[in-house]
Amino acid sequence: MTILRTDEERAAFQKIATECSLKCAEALGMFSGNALTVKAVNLRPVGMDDMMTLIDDPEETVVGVSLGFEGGIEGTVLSYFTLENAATLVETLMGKRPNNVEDFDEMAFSALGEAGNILVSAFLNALSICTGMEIMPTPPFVAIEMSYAVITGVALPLIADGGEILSLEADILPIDENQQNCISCRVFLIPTTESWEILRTKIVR
Amino acid sequence: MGQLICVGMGELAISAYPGNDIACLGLGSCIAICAFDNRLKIGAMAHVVLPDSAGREAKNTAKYADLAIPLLTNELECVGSFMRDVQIILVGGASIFQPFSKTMDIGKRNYEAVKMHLKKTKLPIVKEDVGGTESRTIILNVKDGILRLRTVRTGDNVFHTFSKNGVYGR
Repeated sequence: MTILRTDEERAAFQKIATECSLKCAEALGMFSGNALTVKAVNLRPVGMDDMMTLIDDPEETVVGVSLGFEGGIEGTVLSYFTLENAATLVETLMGKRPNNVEDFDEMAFSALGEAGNILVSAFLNALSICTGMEIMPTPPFVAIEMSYAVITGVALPLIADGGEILSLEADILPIDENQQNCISCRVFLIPTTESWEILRTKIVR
Repeated sequence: MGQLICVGMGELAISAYPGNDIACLGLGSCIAICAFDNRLKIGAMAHVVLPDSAGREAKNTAKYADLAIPLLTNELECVGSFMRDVQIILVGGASIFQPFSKTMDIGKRNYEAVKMHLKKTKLPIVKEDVGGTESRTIILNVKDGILRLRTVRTGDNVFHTFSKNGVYGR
C-alpha cells in the first residue's frame, strides 16, 4: 500500500504540506524571535521496511516531541530536532544554552514540550483548515534519545499493520540571511490507516 | 580486516570471522536477540521489530519474534553450532514515549513474545537489558564474545562477556 497513490494525490498533499510548514515556520519564528520562512518541503511516504532510510545516523542523539491527535482523524505527529537545534530553542526560551545531554533538565524538557506543542499545533491547525475537520492535539511527550529509537517509538504502534509515515522535511530558514539561530526541524505525520483514508477523501476532492 | 555488520530492522546477521563486530544501532521498542556460540566463536544477532507475524509474509523474516527465533537457530545450526553451546542476551524493548494504551506498548509485547518463543528452544538467556525508556545500541565482538552496550546517558560500556561453556538445558 502507498498513501500517495496518484500524482493528483501527491500534488494535493504537497500543497497542504507546504501550507502546514509555513504555519510551523511562522509559529517557530514567533517562538524564537526570528522571522522564518520555508525554503523547501520534501514529502516522502515511508513504510516500515524503509524507515532506516529516513535518517543518516541511527545513533544520533535527537529531541523528539510527540503529540497524539484526535477528532476527525487520529494518529501522532512527531517533531524532530537535532540536539543543536533543541539547544538553540532552549537558549531562546530560557537564556541558558544546554551544552550536553545532561544539561537538558526538567525545565529544558518543559520548554521543548512547549515548543513542540506550538509547532505541532500550528501544523494541525493548518491541516484542520485544509480538511475542514476538527483535529485536536493531546499533551506532548518529549524524549532525548537515539534518532532511530525516537522514530520507531512513535511510528511502529501505528504502522505495524502495513501503514506508512508521511515524512515532511522542511528547511526553515531566517528570511534575513544575516539572522542567527535558525531552527530547522522535521515533522512526521503518522495517522492511523483508517485516518489516511479519511484524509485522502478530504484532501483530494 | 574485520568489519562492522549493522543489523537493520527485521534482519539477522551471523558471523564467525574473528575481526567482525555485529551491531544493532538505536534500538527503541525493537529487541536485539544476541546469540553467541563460545565453542566455535560464532556470533549472531536478530533485530526483532514486532511480536507476531500473524500469518503475514515478511521481506525480512527476523522482523517478527515468532519467525526470528526459528530462523536464528536454523542459521546457527547451518554453520555447525550445537544449541548446547549457544547463549542468548536480550536488549531493547523500551517505550521511548509513553504508550497510548497497553496494546500499543510494542516494546513490552516484543519482549514477552521473544521470551515465549525462546522458551521453546531451551536456549538460555544469560543476561538482558530490556524495558525502560532509554534507547540502546549493542555491539558484539565475534573474536572474544564481548558485548558492548551504549545509551545516550551512560555512554559505551562492556555489558557482558560470554563465558567459555554453554549451559544448554539448565
